[in-house]
Amino acid sequence: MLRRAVALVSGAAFVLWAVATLTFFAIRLIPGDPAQAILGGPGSQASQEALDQVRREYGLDRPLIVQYLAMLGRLLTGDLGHSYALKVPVADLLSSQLGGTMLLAVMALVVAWMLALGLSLWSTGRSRFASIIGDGIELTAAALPHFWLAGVLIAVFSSGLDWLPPVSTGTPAGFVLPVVTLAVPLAGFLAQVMRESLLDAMQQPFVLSARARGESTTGIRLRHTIRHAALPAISLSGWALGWLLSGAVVVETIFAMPGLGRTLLQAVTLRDIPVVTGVVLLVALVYVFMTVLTDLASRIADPRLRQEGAR
Amino acid sequence: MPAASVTSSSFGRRSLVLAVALVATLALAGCQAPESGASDEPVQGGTLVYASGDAEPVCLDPHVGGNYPQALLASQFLESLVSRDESGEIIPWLAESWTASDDGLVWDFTLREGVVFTDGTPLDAEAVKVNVEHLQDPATQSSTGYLALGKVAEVEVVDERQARFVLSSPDSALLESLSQPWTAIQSPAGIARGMEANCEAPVGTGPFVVEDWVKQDHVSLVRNDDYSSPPADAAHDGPAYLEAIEWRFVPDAASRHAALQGGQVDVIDNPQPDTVAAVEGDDAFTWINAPRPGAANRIELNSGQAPFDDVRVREAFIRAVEVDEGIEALYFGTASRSYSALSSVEPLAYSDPSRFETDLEAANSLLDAAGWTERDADGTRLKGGQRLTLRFPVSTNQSIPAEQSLFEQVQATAKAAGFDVVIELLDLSSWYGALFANEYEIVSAPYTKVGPDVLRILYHSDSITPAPSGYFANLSQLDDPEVDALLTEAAATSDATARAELYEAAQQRILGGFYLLPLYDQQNSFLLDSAVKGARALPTVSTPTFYDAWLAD
Amino acid sequence: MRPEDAPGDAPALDVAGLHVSFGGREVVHGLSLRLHRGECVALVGESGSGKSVTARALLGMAGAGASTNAARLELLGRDLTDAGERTWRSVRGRDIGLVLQDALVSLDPLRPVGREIEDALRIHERLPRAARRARVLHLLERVGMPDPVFAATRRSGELSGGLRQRALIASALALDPPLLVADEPTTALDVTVQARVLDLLAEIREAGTGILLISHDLAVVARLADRILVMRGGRVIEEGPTETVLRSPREAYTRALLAAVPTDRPRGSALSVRAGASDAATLPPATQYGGRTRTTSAVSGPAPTGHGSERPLLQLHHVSKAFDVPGGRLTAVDDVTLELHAGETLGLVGESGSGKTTVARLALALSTPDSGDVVLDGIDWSRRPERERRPMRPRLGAIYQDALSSFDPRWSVGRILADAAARGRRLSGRADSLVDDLLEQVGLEPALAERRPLTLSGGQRQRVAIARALAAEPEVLVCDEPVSALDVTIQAQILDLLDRLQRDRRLAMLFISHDLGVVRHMSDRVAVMRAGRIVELGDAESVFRAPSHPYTAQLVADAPRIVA
Repeated sequence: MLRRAVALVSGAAFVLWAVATLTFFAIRLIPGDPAQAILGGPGSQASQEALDQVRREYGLDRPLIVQYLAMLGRLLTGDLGHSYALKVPVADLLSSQLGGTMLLAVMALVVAWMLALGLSLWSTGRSRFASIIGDGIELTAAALPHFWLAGVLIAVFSSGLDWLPPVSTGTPAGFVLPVVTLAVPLAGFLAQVMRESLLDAMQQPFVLSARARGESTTGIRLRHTIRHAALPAISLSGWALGWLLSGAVVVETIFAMPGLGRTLLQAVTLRDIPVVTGVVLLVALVYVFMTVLTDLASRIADPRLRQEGAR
Repeated sequence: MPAASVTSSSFGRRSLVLAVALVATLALAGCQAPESGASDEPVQGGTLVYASGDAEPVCLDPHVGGNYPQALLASQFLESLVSRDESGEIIPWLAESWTASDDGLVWDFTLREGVVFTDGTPLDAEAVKVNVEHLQDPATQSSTGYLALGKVAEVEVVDERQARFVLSSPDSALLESLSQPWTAIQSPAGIARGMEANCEAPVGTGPFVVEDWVKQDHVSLVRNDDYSSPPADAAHDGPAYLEAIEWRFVPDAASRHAALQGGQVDVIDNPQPDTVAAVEGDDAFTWINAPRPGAANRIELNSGQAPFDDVRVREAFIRAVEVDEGIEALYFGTASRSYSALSSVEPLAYSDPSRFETDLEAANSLLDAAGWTERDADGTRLKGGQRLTLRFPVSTNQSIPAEQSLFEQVQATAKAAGFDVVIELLDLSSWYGALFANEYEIVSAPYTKVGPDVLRILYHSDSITPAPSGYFANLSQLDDPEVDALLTEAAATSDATARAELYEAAQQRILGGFYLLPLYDQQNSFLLDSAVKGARALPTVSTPTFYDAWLAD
Repeated sequence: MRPEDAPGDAPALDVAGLHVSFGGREVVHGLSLRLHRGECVALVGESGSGKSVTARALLGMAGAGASTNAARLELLGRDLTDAGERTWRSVRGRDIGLVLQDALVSLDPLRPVGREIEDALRIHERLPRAARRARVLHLLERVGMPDPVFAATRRSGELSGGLRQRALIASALALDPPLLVADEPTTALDVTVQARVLDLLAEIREAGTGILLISHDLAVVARLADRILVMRGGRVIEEGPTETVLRSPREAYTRALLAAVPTDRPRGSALSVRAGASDAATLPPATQYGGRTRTTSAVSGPAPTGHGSERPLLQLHHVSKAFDVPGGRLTAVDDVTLELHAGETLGLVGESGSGKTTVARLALALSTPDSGDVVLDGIDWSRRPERERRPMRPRLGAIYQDALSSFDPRWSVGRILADAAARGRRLSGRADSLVDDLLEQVGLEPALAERRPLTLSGGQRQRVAIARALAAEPEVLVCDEPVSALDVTIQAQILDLLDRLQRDRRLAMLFISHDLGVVRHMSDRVAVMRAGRIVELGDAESVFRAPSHPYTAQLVADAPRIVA
């Protein structure tokens, strides 16, 4: 048990280190002078002394490898630094923006699950017609780009029917369209996975046993195969949440919601390195955390996984 | 100021007169509101919701940096020493009167009496001094305001209500510079709180006060009940009618428009051309068109290096390119063609359509004469093995889709004459990077400033020298001693007539050198729900002001 | 028995003229059968005989796309010939119960077995929670589950093979149906466990439940059934009381089936009938077997020690191997010493988990022992680096239970064999003739070389596997459950083939199986393994006839036989 915990923590630490390193070097490949970014962005009228001073202060004149190690050192103490553009501590900025995005992502995940379960249960194992329809819906849904879907939803439900607001209002109604936009493509993908598992489960002998006890088709779906269908989706949910967090950029921009996505977009545009690093690390952390969580959930849901190695 | 806003679209109107009339009508409608009948009686109270498509500022204090999104917000809660009316005249605001010495090096401003900042600090000469020092202090990182007051050596406190500006050399554009929001007067106590606090909520004398700023979401402004300093062309005095303004950041144009249509917001900016065309004739919405001052939206040709160091090639490009149809179609008639380097709201703008007539034959013969006689497989001209390639970096943060399409038109029509225009779509920082590295032959870079002094910033050879950050404003790299002389003299002359003549001569020479292809005014407009009455655009930098506005029931 | 069920001669199940077809193709042709309460009737046949389809059709679950019709189909006097799904649902679980093979997948692995057992109670009787719980515990007790309270909360994977099969039986018996259909109920179980479960089924039969037993295993059937129906190609070809059918079968097919069962058949006797040949062909005299005397009668005297001049070809000296499992370390092989001689078969028998497969892997040097040595023809085998072992590998061949998964599904048979014959080198143009030769040796037509393993039958695949193993001309052949997945007649053919090949090539064969009858028939000497240790080792006949170790005795006693 302890060994597992240690393995988990060191794995997570490795991932975070790799992410921090990759981000550090990747963002320096983008053209743009960080000193300028600190001093007010492109077009700044800062004097040469001011630029030099900032470079010294932020260690930007030191060799790259020294800067890298300094960054690692700061990260180890939990110091995410200050935003170049916004002058506030990165940690403060992220903590204020994280909640909205996480709420959006979690809700989208829940809705996606519901849609996927409903669709796969309805369309699998019945008529060929239902199967084809279900297949088509899943494929289309998974292929929809967020920006297109958002536009269509706004056009239909806001401008057209005036049922829902096109930009966030802070009320629950303002969450509906953004959540649906994020949930639908994910639902398509999850449904495809669930369908595979569902079809497989339906052909298993235990379904035959259940029928032999007089169980109805609905009963079999709800009591037996639904669990089997959900298993792969559980392990995918960790990845899905991370994916949703990155999809949040588009949704937050279109629906004018505050969140990490927009923060990241602004930071990249302004070459605000500490914020970019902070957001990327935060997302990586969420990924790692969710992976652990779904691993646990998988074990709880499927006792067969608890017994690896034992016969 | 270099417009670092999200979208910068330039609308034009048929003629300057019509535009002025339109704005004047709207403004007058606001002014005449109390006499027009019961439904036009200003209503007290209510919250106006404004949805902005411009980028969210990183700091609400316009002294820091200095871009258009900051100006939009600052116009609600900060005020400048002077303002400008629709005819272009400088009018009193926080300063009620001013005099200049004969040599133009000393300016005395008398401040309005009894004005108090919203934190209780009185508006006095000391405050003005503190503000100018704040702008000139490198630690403030001011860009626009710093440049605007470049010739101010210091400010002396003569007495409580008199501030004396001492200049290092005469500046005919001083008043115009002081009318901009980037040189607004803030509370010294507010400034003294330090940059972090002052960025969150600057303290000014304006009709509204910053109450709260939720990043990425909105800024809450509430009415300043002790307001007493409207500019001379305002419709009323005393506090504003509106109780509050909620200023939201909605980057996506479609959502913004949908929010306006759905009644979720009352005013939006940066409406796309097709949206404006769609609501034409619809009584439910009002369109305020207010082009930005300073330069028009133009394509600059880099004369500092080949191929455009040859005036024949420059002229050939301008003769080959066809933009009129594109502008008409892509902007749905909301923008009209400009033939001037300056915005149509500048009284001193000089326009010369004859210079920009399309003539493909002439273009071809000019290029032949310049030695670009060979052509390669896809029709691009060659000279000494070199292709006639024009790099065209385009900032996606500044050019709306309609403008990007227009640039593709430019590319297509230039191809007929053998130019190979390569469009590079870049984000803002990369775009600046390309410019500072001299990796461009043509570029479109807006510049907003009140007054014709913008010509000096854009076309004086001094502006080719980059600042330590790499920034330089003279992107056409025009280096003409005669232009330099004209512009320098115009900047120093206090005689209005002489100034006008000098600027005209300079513009003639600039246009005559084929250094730029004017397109249209910097597009800047607002769509308002018809329930919003009394709103207008300040004739300074064309930002909206809601001081005289109210929400009809 | 339920009070409303009137005792008497009325059959619990009365079927006449049952036809089942799938899309026009008939798989059951006019089957008729009667089953009384307290009686066990067995449907015997090989795969494809239609017995499983029949069993399912009797529950109205013949399968998707099946059309079933019967002249008469009465369950407890109730006519079900035209029954709709609703009617069937009310019948299933209440009047008929179904027990399938392998409870690991026949019970929902994600649900506690208690829930599975409860289902019938919930569906048909709507008992309240507490009453259901009580009934579940009662049922588990009845099927002999130790600690029913704990077991009810376990999932099928968390119980041992025998216990979960009992749970499965409990789930079928929840409402005490008068008829139980058991389709291969003990096939996946170990011998001793199988015996216990068969005892349980016998008890259930005694208590008055009618059992329809489907099986391919005549020995199991002999243990439990009162009457036997032999099916072939969808038809019942022979029918009668168990004794009669097993002692004096009328049909040739039935006789062939009986002949194919290796239990109690002497070593060297052929099990299968080649086309055209007479019954039970015997093999050449025993003197050809490496100088030892082997007879078909009881062996007298102790197991032969040493083999004179012959050195053992493969030796395991005190090998041990342990694995890390959750919760500690499992010793799979514990101080095992074995010897294999040329031309001799050593049988290795044991139940699941006894370590047989690990021994096979150690012998093939696919696994390194923790301690002890494996020696091949006097050469140190286990301790050598793989680089040096590789050239010697062709001396060992191996065949496994699941031939299909041991092939690359994309390769044709010809390619598989050519690859094996090439021993890692490239073959020159002789490939084709070599392949044909190999196929002939295992009794397959050369045309099969074009086909892929997926398109072959189970018996054909195993022959190909044997051909592959022989392609490199090995001296040692390791067979790990080579016939467990095959029908009994096919099994017979494969066993005969292995015998012949051993004779012709003087192979040293290590024959691993859990089936005592098979091992006994195939082996010269036998080793009995239990929990990683060899508990008994000696001459096959003497070990089985007079086992010295109690475990061996238990195994022998539990192994079902046709002739009791």
